[in-house]
Amino acid sequence: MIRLRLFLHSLGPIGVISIVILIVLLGSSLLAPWLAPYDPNQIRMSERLAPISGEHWLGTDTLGRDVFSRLLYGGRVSIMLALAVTVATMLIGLIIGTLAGYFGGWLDDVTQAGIHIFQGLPGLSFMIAIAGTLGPGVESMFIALVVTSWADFSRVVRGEVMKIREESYIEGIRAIGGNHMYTLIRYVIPNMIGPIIVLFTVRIGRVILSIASLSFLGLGLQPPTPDWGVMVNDARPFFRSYFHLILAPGLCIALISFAINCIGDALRDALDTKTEKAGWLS
Amino acid sequence: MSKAFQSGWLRQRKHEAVKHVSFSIGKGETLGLIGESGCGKSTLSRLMVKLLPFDQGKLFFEDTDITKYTMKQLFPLRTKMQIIFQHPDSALHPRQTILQSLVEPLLLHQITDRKQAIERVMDLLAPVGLNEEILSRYPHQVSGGQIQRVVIARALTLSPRFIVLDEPTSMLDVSVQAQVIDVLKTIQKQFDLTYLFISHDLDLVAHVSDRIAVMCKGEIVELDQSKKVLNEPVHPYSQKLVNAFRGYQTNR
Repeated sequence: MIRLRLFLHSLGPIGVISIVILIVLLGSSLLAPWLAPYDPNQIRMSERLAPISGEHWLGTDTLGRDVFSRLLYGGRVSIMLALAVTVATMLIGLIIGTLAGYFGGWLDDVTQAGIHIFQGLPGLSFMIAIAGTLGPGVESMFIALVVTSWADFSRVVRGEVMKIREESYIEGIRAIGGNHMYTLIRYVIPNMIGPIIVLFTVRIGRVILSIASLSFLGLGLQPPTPDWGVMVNDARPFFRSYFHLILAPGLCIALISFAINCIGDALRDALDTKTEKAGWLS
Repeated sequence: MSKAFQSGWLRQRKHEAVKHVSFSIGKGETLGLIGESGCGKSTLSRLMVKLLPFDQGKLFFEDTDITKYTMKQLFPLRTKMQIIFQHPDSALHPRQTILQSLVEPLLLHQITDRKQAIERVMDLLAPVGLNEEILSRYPHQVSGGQIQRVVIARALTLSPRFIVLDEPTSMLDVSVQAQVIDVLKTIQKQFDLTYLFISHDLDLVAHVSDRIAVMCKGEIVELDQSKKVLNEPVHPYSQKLVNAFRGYQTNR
């Protein structure tokens, strides 16, 4: 418990608020089947565009579906997909970045060229091009997101590895007889866990935003899937008269990416002071 | 039996860090290697334990030509030659306790199991002047002098016969320097070790070495008995070096 309190303290007030927001959003998404008052996909044309009331907390949409229920379900696919995409990106980035940074030479030149090309491409347009070519759906969105974000990850990992490679404990373990594999797994990767965790959180936030964008553009998740991005798009024709239809899912997207980004920032600060203190002590 | 190292026509990258260097170190001897910063001392030390590949020349370890040894062939030999570096603050894995770092070489080479490794580490603490208390700490909780002792103990776990000391005390306080040097001298006798002692501090090198090699711009310009180099240096660079160190006393 003391460790937890220390951890929360080091995150600062914004970090703690962000964690609370994230827990609420994740929890409600997870518990949606039990919390939702209605089936999110049940269409009742007689009740279409109902106003906010005790019966429908956030009213109903153009097909008479309960907006609050859809909102609860709306994060599930995006968050799961964002997690999957970020894990995949991280694995690719970790492998490419580590090998390029550690071995250097032609391997580094080749991967750097690739990274530069992918970083030079405009992210969203490229993503739309891939998702559009492959056709809308979860799989194509996954591919589009991974293809457009592995380069950033690799670049950061490469930089970290190059920094660690110069430390004398790397030469030390090599002299003791640790081979490259041993050195990488036992020495290089554990010493960049901090930056990786930070990068991981920041990336998830960005990926959730990208998923919402793609879904809004009609290239991501397809209606009738209850999803925040899809809901924003569905509500677009009516938002002048029924602005809460667009506000509710929009707010959810904004809140979750804001919270995750703040956690990433707070985590970075918390980890930075730690390393600074360690440096100061030694 | 003598331990002979021969290397010549060495080259690193395009600028020749080490060139035409040839020398040998006798068993139980301490060879001091001295020279200004950037003259190739450290490069030479890494070439000698094959942390860097070299372009030309030959390298012998106990009459075995290890020039063409691959990393795999070299693995058993790693126990016999060790290297100790300059920077104590980055010498150990920051996320491993001192104990983990100390038993690691034995476990890596599968010489003993964990229990025996810990016993062996315990036996080595006294010779390097450490106590058990330190074992559960992390490197950033330990002073530079203690880190160097830990690093020395870590090298000793593998019962090496040859240790390269790459400016092992240059980052330490003068008082701690003397202690670490004492430790090095004691264990040299106790474990019958051969040293290559690299430093840019002439006094220190003269104090620990049997013979001194003076290095300048990648070449060894003078190699002789410590006293001789110190008292009657032949090469202009060695003369400059010796005079500079004597400067404190004679020129004033």
